[in-house]
Amino acid sequence: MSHQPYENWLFTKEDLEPEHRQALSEHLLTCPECSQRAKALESVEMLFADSSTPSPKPGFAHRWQTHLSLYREKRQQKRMLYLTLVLFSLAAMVFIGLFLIHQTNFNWIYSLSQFIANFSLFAVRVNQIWQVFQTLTTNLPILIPVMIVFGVGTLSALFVLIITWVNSMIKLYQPVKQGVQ
Amino acid sequence: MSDQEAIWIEKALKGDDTSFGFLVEAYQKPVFSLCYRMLGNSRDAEDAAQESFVRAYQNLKRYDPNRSFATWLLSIASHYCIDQMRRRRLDTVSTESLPPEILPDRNAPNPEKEYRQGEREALIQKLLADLKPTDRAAVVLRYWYEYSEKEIADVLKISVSAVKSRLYRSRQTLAIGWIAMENRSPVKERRPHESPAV
Repeated sequence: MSHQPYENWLFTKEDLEPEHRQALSEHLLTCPECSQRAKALESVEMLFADSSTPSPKPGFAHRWQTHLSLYREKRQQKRMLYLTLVLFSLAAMVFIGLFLIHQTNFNWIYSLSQFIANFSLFAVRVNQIWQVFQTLTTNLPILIPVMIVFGVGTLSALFVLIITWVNSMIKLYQPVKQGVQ
Repeated sequence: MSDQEAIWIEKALKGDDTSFGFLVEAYQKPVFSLCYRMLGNSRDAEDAAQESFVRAYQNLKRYDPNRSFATWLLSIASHYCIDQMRRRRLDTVSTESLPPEILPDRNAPNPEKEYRQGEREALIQKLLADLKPTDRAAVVLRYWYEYSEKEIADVLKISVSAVKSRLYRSRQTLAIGWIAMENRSPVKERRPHESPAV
């Protein structure tokens, strides 16, 4: 026997249309399984309705104040521990760095200045290229699409050439391999 | 939210612990009750309720005054309990033996009534233990707080359709659980509100 849609109506607990309610009542009279479930659900709901509301033991708010104080204390301890760890790590890093500088003959100041100089040069080059590009886009905007087409065309031609070359190499290699065998 | 609560919140936002203490006093019972229904015993419920209030205090700046404070608080508590249940796998803990708090208090005016109440509580916990954490929260909010599906969706931060399907599945599970307990029980005939475990 099909229990649908009666089971849905039973467990959704939504207000049913009068004809649906009638159909459900008729089904419950003929279907022992659905009838048993309906009675069980009714019993559960009655059990829930009859139950008392549990209350905390007296002094809950006072205990909460203590709980809050303990929580703050723990948080403070955690912060202190974290701060100590950070300071210790920093001190250890500084110590190791100083030790390495002392132990090696490496000229740190010279290397650093070289790095800064190289980086500055690189930045200047990038800036120049960007300025050239900006000048082109402002003064010769018509050239941009031409350049793009030219660039794409060149790249495509190069790609086709590479593919052709690879294909030729494969074809050249295959007869030699067969001849050896 | 009452005007008094708004004042307490405003003062608590300025760092006044005492004002938040008044809010704790006002909402301790609903929060504890939710935690108890979710976690199944008084000790864990107390810890969860305390922690929920601490989290609420910490995140008070994020509270939107246009929203109900109770809903916001219960949302924090239910999410904390769901996390706890997932972490401790409390949903699989056996409730065959009665927890100590439901044993009859011999000094109580009516120990038999206390015992019956304890048995009912044990039965409720046994039925709820079959539900997944979020389903359990939805059931608790529906049946003990009489929240609408929309309110449950707000508390649990899920869609209304998800709440509907969770409640549907939970009702099925609860009904099947009840039938299973009835079948295990030697006494077959009883009134609907009576416990099958009796």
